[in-house]
Amino acid sequence: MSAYIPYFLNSLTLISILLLVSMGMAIIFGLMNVVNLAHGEFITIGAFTLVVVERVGGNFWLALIVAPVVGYIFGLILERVLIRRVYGNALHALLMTWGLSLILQQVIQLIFTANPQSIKGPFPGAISIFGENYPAYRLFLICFALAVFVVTVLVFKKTKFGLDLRASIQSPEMASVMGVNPAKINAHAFASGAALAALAGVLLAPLTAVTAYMGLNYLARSFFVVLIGGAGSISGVAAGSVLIGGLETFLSYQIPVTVAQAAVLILAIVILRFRPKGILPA
Amino acid sequence: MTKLNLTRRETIKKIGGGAAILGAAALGMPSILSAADGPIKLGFLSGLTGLETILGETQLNCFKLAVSEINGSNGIGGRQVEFIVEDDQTTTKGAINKARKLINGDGVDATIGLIASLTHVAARSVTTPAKKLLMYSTYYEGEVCERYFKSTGQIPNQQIVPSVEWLTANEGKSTYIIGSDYVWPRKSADTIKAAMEAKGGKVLGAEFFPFGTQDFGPALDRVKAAKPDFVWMMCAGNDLFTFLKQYKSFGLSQQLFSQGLDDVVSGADPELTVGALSNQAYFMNIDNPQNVAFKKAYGDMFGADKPINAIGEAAYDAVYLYKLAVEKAGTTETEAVIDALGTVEFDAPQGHVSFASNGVMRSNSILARANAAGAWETVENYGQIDPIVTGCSL
Repeated sequence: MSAYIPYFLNSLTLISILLLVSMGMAIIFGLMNVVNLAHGEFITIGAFTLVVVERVGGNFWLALIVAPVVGYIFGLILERVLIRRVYGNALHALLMTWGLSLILQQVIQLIFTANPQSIKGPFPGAISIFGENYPAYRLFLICFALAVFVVTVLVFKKTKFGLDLRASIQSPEMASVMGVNPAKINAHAFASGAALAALAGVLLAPLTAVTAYMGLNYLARSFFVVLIGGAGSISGVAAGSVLIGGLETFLSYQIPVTVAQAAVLILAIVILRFRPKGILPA
Repeated sequence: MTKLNLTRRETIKKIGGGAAILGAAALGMPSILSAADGPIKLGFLSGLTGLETILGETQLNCFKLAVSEINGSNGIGGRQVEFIVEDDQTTTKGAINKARKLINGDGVDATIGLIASLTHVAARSVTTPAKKLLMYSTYYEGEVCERYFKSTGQIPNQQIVPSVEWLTANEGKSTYIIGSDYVWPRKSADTIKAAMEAKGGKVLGAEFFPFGTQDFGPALDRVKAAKPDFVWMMCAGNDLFTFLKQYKSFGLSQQLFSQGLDDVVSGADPELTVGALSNQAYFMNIDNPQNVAFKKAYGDMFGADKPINAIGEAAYDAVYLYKLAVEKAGTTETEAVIDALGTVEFDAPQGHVSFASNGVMRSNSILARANAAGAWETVENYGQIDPIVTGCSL
């Protein structure tokens, strides 16, 4: 029995990582339909916010509050200046955000050099859980990811902002007739997506190399999770993360990891063939 | 009859051009005007973005330092050195495209650099058929035997084999290998397995992960279950940091060994590497006058707090060995330079170096342990070792 505990927790860790990096994508790509190739850099910005906060004397917990704010403001400015000009034109959005991601990577590298940044995460050691030692930080990550997910779902289902957003996505004309300002809603939605990505960046920093290119590792993954889970629904992200994360961990215990990742990709293609709108479409 | 098409603009241009040539000659720079005696062109090709960015920067800096020192003291046989920097993005596609550009487009006399082994395989597929010199400065899996390929980094018998001897004698007879999924870790794992077995040891498992792996949890879970005496890690570039962060958090107590650790990696985050073992041809702690001068010159040019590693030092050596070979050959013609490379010797920061007949540099083998400050303390210095490439004599 105890042998299954690390396996179970490892699955939950990967699911949590996928959930965190994909939630912002679910809003920006899934709901707003903006193909944002700079999504990975929003995550990077979050991680580097942690670096800066620690350098000026702050800690991880402070960064956990500051990073979403930085991401939100960054997203808001970006939406106002660039993104709003390319709504409805996927190709323009694609090119523009791709260019943006390259610029952001280089700017971050110029400021912080190519070296992976040293950061101090909380809970460095392992704790005993049912007789098995497991890294404490991973347990925290699993709980935190779940909390972030629940809060995001509540915001979308229970608040006026969530209602307005869903309305203006379903029918922008009707929503604006009913007194919703789509421009404002879009700006806040995009900024929320960026804020969630930045939050993910802080949470991932203790687990991974913090470099200007770290975001690239998550870009394809998060698109993938959103597409499989079902674009346009927040709960779809959970379904996508559980399927991909769970399966990949399960397979990686049976076959080489490279093959496991390929197998998950193939399965995803099969799923999309039969459920083109994903597992839990909107 | 041909039509003489002389316009006023053309005439002024021609007179201007002639004046420039005359002017240059009058200033005493006639050598620049003759093509054969023009500047020597070197190509620098390496991973300046992507996975190996952290190592690429130091390698480029060391290359630039060597060129600037050479240019500051009469160049190569009186000719200045120019260089073109290209980024292979740590991909095979990038390495092939950029090697082609350097050779066919820029017409470089030689190409120096490269880190991840997949890029030396890719670049060689361009340089060797084109019969152009490629100098590789990173420790690697060896087993290459090509006239147009010279390497200044360690190969397994200079790095892995002595390390296995020490580890089996001091840490224990079993190990578990975790690496990135490409040619260097996979081929090195074969060498490690053979070397371990020769010492009565055993490789309990070997696992390879795609670039950009975010979760080593399942692998570390298996390492824990296998209970090896020490863990052998060969993750590349940024993935190495991801692995180290997760290794610590799983509370594994086994000794960690990786021949991919050096001063640059430990300098970036000393907490992650403290206590780990590595084997390199160069550590900053090497005590000789050349290394003192090298570190000072590097610090003056790029900042005193910037660490230097073996990959960088070997790139620096490559430029100097190339310079000595060109001077000895009296030409930049590739065949003559390659012949001369086999005969030149250089007082490098790591010590006195030269090429063996298999095209690999005779280099040091130093087993060291990282301390809490990110510096390396020598555990065992095997001195300089002759490279062995089975069946290779060029």
